[in-house]
Amino acid sequence: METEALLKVTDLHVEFHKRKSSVYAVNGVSFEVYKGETFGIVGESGCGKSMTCKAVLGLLKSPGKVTEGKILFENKDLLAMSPKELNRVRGHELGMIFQEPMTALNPLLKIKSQIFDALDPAVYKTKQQKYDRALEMMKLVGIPSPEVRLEEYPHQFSGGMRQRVMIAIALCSGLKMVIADEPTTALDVTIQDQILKLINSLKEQMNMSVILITHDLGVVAQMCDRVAVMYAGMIMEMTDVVSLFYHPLHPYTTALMGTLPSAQQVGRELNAIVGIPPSLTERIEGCPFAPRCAWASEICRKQCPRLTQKEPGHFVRCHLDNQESGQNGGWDNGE
Amino acid sequence: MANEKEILLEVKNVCKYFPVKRRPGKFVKAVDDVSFFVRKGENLGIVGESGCGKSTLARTLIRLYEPTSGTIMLDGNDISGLTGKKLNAARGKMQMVFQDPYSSLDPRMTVYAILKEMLKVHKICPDAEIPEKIEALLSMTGLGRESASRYPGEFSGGQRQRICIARALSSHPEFIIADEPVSALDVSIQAQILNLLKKLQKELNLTVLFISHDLNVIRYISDRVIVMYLGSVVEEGRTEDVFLKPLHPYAEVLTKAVPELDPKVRSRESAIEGDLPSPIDLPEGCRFHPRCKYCQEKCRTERPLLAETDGGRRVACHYPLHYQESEEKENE
Repeated sequence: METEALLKVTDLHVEFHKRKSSVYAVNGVSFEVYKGETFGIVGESGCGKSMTCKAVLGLLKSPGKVTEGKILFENKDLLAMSPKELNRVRGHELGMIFQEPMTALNPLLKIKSQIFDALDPAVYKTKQQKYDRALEMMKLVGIPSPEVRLEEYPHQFSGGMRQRVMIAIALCSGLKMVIADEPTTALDVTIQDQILKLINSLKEQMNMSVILITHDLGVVAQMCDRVAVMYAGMIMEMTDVVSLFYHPLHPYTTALMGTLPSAQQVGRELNAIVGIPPSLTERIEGCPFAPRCAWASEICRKQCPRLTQKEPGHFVRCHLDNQESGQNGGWDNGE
Repeated sequence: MANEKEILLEVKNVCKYFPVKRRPGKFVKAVDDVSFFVRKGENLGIVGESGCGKSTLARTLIRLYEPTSGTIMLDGNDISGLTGKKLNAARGKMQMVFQDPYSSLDPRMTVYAILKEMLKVHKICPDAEIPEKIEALLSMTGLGRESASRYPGEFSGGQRQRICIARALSSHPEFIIADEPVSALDVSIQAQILNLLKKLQKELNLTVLFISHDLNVIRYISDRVIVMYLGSVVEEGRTEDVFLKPLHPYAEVLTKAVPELDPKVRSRESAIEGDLPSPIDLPEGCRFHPRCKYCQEKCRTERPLLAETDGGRRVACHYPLHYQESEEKENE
């Protein structure tokens, strides 16, 4: 049954060391992404979701460094690659869609030349071939009057249209996997809706895998097949999307769902999570969520639990025998 | 029905136009002929996408922008033309919480100094009582006494938003305008602030104008809601009515576009095609017609006015959506 893993990340650690301070951004993250699936990474700001993906793409900025772990893409070790080899993989097999389409595009270049730059020169040799491919991509991502738009500059595009251009650039070389880092956070709901649907239809047409990084559980529910919930640089829970929403096992996941304002919550107080996420400037002893967890006991404060498989395909990092937390803090979804 | 409670704020035909520098004679009609009222003690939500004029409206109400035309009646007094001391006095009754708690606090003033300034400007209490008053404000907003001597930079986003709320409350306002107060916060912190605002509204009997682009937040916190599109109000009604049975096609689109929090309910079609038109060259007729799937000939030429329908709802549409009788009975 198990299809082959396209990307396999094992025990990834990312640390930032400066002269006076250190940040332990990612602390032992392991996951696999299979062919053709959408894998979601969800968490609040500073939980390490973006850092994990930057590490995968080799885009960490100094002093950020992968200090431990393995990243295998189609069984090739990305961390052991030379910059040249990595460039070959990046953009041709593994691509990225950024959050801010304003800053990710070059304001001084026409859209046309930005797409040309992303095309593989070995495949698209002549200008005409490049132009045809660019036009095809613009049509594919649903930009009206693409012939005119190719000659324009990024500032002439609206936020949603810029994100479409970003997607066209990312996908023009026929990727196997794309990492989308909060692709719709800067957009309005109606435009977000359009872009998410676009990513879904392109994923099917091109038979890609997608890693979707987001803080929005609604986006997760609509888009993902499997999901990892991250907190303080660790995966707390990883499972298929239906289990995550209908049968969450980790106290953080249930708490997170309780915080969301929704129709069912009207008239009730929201179950806010007390306190704030831990600072990652020191290594955390014990479970990082323990200080905010309603079920935390002595062992939670002393020893960090391991990510264990509690049900088939359902991984949880928690000492609790999850009966209690799952039910109480649990999220009533009208079942 | 309409006079259930006293009206605190009444806005009549307020417009705010900004001239376009490079194109003389052209204006961005950020707020175009907006009228509504807020009853005492209620929470009125304003929802819309970026560029719909909701923040400009808030800033115009509190007179950070001069309205181009129209009247703003606070407690029966027209405040749209006030200046100087009179304006200051009006602002004491009406306070604002801004979106970004990082830029709306002076980084070089301690929390104590920030609150003291407010108490002094609005002459809330004699100098001797200031420390006591500040302590009360801090505890009311869930901040510790020790926060008083610290600077905004030492606080997290959620705590800074609490400071902003404490500052807004320090002049004993009746009316709070909250402009996207939780948009910059993570969900776990967002819930804390929403709970706090709800609690304070009840305890202090505040009237709140709550602006947000997040429909789930509005649905949770507001009693009534106004939906804006390109500078004007397209629909107004009780929150549950608008969310369950939107009358305006845009309100329908907006509610459908919010990602459902249930992986078993997935839609494949996007709720709406097309982008927002430029606010400088607004479409003729109904401003929503180029994106509206129910658009008809009349919509292209004639602009619909905001008109009252049954049950105290208002909608600006020639052909408002309607619902089957049986469906209505079911929901009642």
